[in-house]
Amino acid sequence: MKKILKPIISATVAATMIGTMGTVVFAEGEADYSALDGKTISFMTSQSKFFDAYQTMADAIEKDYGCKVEFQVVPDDQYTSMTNLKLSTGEVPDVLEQNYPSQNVAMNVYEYCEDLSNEPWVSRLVNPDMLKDSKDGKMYALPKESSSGYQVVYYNKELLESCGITDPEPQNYDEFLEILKTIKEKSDAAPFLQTNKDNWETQIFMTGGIPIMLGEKADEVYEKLLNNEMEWTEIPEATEVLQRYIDLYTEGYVNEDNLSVGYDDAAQIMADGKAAMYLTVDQWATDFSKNHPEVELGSFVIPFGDKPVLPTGNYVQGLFVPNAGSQVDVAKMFLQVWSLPKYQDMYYAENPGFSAFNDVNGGEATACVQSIVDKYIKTGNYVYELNGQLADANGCFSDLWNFYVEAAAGEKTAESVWEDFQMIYVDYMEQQGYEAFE
Amino acid sequence: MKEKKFYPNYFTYPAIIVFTIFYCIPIIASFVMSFTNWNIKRISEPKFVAFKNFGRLFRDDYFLLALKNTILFAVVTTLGIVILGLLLALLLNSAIKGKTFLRTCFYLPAVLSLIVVGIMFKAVFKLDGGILNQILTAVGLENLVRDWLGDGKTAMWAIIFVQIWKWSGFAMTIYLAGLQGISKDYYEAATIDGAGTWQKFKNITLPLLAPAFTVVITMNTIGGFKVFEQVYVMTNGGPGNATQVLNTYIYKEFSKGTLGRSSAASLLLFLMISVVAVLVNRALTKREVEM
Repeated sequence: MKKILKPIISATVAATMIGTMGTVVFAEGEADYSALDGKTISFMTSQSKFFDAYQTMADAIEKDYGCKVEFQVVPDDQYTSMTNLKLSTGEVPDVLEQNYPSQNVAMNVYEYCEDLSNEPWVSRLVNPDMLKDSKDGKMYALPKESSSGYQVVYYNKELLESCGITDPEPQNYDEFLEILKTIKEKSDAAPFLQTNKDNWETQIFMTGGIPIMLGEKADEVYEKLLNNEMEWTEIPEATEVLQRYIDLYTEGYVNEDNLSVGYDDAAQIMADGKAAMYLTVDQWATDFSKNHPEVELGSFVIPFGDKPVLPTGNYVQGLFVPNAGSQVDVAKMFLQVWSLPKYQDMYYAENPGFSAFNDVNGGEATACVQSIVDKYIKTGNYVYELNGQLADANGCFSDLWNFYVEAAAGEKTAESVWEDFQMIYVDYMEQQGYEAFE
Repeated sequence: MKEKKFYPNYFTYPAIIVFTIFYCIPIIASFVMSFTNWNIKRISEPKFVAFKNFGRLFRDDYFLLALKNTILFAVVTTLGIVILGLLLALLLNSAIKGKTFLRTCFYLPAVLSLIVVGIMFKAVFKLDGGILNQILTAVGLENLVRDWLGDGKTAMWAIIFVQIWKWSGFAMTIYLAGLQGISKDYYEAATIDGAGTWQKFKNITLPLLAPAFTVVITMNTIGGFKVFEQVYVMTNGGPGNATQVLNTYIYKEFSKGTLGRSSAASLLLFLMISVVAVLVNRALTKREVEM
């Protein structure tokens, strides 16, 4: 018996050892991405989300793995509609970029997108917990940054200095208005650039201002709104913020062509000195500084309350894999390759910032963005924007943003915006099947 | 005697199958879904809600605005194209120099993509550096300078102008075909009888052009109700909702994921176009005279 068992045990042990060694060798070496060879990944993104560095990364991936990337760059004002439309009809790209996780509900990722929680890149994330879906704790997208969406005024330093304003840091709303007034009096530039052709830009003032004005009662208000226990018309802070926004127009602080220019026009307008400041997100500042190094930008936070607090999005840019795609497994493998430091470093070499991955060199961020991170993010002096807190209702927010544009055009009052939106909100939530609204 | 059949019936089957799959089935599905609360979150479990979607649409100020804008667009563009197309045809049917070249020029916009035209006219209507505003400034009409697409009062008219600009040349060719089919004998006889230019136009040209009018009016009415690309490219329904038309409204609702509601709006548009097209066609066909 021993004679028979001995070779069997020896062979088993040897096989196990070889197998284990093999596994170790495979884990330590480069993973097998040969399935990418000869494939083409369709990658949908929007104009403001797309960076030239994406093409650089794609070219490198094609060279290394033989996988082509076909970018489908959609205009910003059509992008959210387009992604939702594609997901709901199943006519999807292999990969699509969208705000993550704030758009999860609006996109219904639970039904239309792949769960990426078990992908290898998840273990390399800087802040995986913040990026997990709040409903089911799953990871639905490959993030680009560790945080983003700082809603800040970026101003032309030289232009403001010519008006006698140096490194402004308004501490309350009146001081902010005083800056605008000075610019209006001392220069030909529009003090406050707005690009309302893209209504997502219009809403930045409100989505950031309202949570700050709500302060500690923000969570209670959100909960009541989602449970249909409160109406939008019953939030005086929301009306006040919107009224302040409308006043910027009536006071003549906003560029005259605000209704027909969009986000893509903003850089040139600012570079030409036709506007002094632009309230937008950090990606714009990074891109602007790269394309217009001759114009130095400064930044400050609009102090909606009694002190400056940074409104920020609780989202980053994420790459989703729609489950109706024709090559889901290849798309997942592509994301793993896309996440590798070699390629991510290419992005951050051109667009320094805050990488989502702990092994990627984010580089030195644009000064006006870095100063915001140092002052507000690192000190915890920030609040999350309204949109992210009410993600369940995100689908109908485009109507609200249109109402903001109408208010900016003088066609609606602050009160009528909330009255009209209340009806749309209730109807939308009822359609979505929320019990409190049925 | 038995009628000779040139082709067997089954030759039509591929066309019928394609038509059924890509046209009939989607229309029927849309018709059914318009009576449900089908949406992006209940993609597999729509519930029957009877006429609720339709009731909600008619209580929605923005649907009514889109309806009003669509009717305005269809009526004004049809009128504009019918009149301008006719004037161009009359002009280019006469003995003027370079008429072949001019015909080509006027027809050219019809072959351009709507998207290209939309983008082109965005540059024309821009506030800052737009060609129209530059011309107005050059001729001393600075007080008329404005943000044509950013002003709710002018944006819809700007889009209407583009539609008329684009399709008048096409209408012109239809009228030209009609005009060239009218025998000169009628005009000679009328001249002998002492008829003036206006009388000849009113009593000969217009009645005999009736078939051309039927085609131009019917096509442009339908096209007007179906307007989408120009609005989408030039204003995307804005500023605010000022230029929202039925198709952009449907697109917006569909994008929000309210699929039942957008199906209901699509059905209403379909019914509206069908009814208007049939009525217009019937009314105009009755007025046609045999040559």
